[in-house]
Amino acid sequence: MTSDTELRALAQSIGEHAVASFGRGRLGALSVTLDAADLTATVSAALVDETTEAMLDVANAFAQLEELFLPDAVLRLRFVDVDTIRTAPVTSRPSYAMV
Amino acid sequence: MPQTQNLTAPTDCLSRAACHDAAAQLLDERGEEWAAVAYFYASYHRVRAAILVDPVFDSLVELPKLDPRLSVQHRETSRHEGRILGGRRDIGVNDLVRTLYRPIYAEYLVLHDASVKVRYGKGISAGRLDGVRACWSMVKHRYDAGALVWRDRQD
Repeated sequence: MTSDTELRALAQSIGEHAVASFGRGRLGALSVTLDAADLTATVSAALVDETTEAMLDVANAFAQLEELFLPDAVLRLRFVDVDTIRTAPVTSRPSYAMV
Repeated sequence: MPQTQNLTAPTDCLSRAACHDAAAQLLDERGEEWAAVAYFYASYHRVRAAILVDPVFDSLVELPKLDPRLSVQHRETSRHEGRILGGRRDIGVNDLVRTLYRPIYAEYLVLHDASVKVRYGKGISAGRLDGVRACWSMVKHRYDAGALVWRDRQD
């Protein structure tokens, strides 16, 4: 999988699966940025409830997401605040955002 | 000692883990967010100590069943996260924790995220440090109890 179109589709798919598996209601925002050089997808999740329990739930869901995309990409999970996603600079990298 | 030398002896990993435990607790008592970094690295070294002696890496039968990408050489993996270069996937310690020690994986990710946030990001709140400490405690407890050894999930 190397074409730009395929990489954008991959970022979109990771983002949509992440929202579904983490739970839409649990998320203030979520973004995915894919680095084409090493196929690393950074999944940034801004949780409505920022407790450790909520983070652990999302991290467990993330483990399943990683296994789903294991052949295609390496996923990284980062917990961020909503503003970090809303104010992120525009990137030319394949990406997905739910705000 | 070279600054970038990776530890390959479990005793060395545990010694560093103990050093990070002590640093974390000192910083934690002062409410310093850098305690999160030390809590993470204490956990990292404990996990690496477990990986270095895990008998799953002695089994050329079990290892490919777990993940065909895994090989004996991954016992000495030290990088945190994997990557794909030239169609080949490099395994990171995070991958090994997910594959071998799933019961602590979520806690390990929360620890890693907090460490990254303190070093490179906006930092963490005092409330978040409470959770990081709890995650470190869980990983340490599991290691001390001898529970950080791969067991078939079907067991």
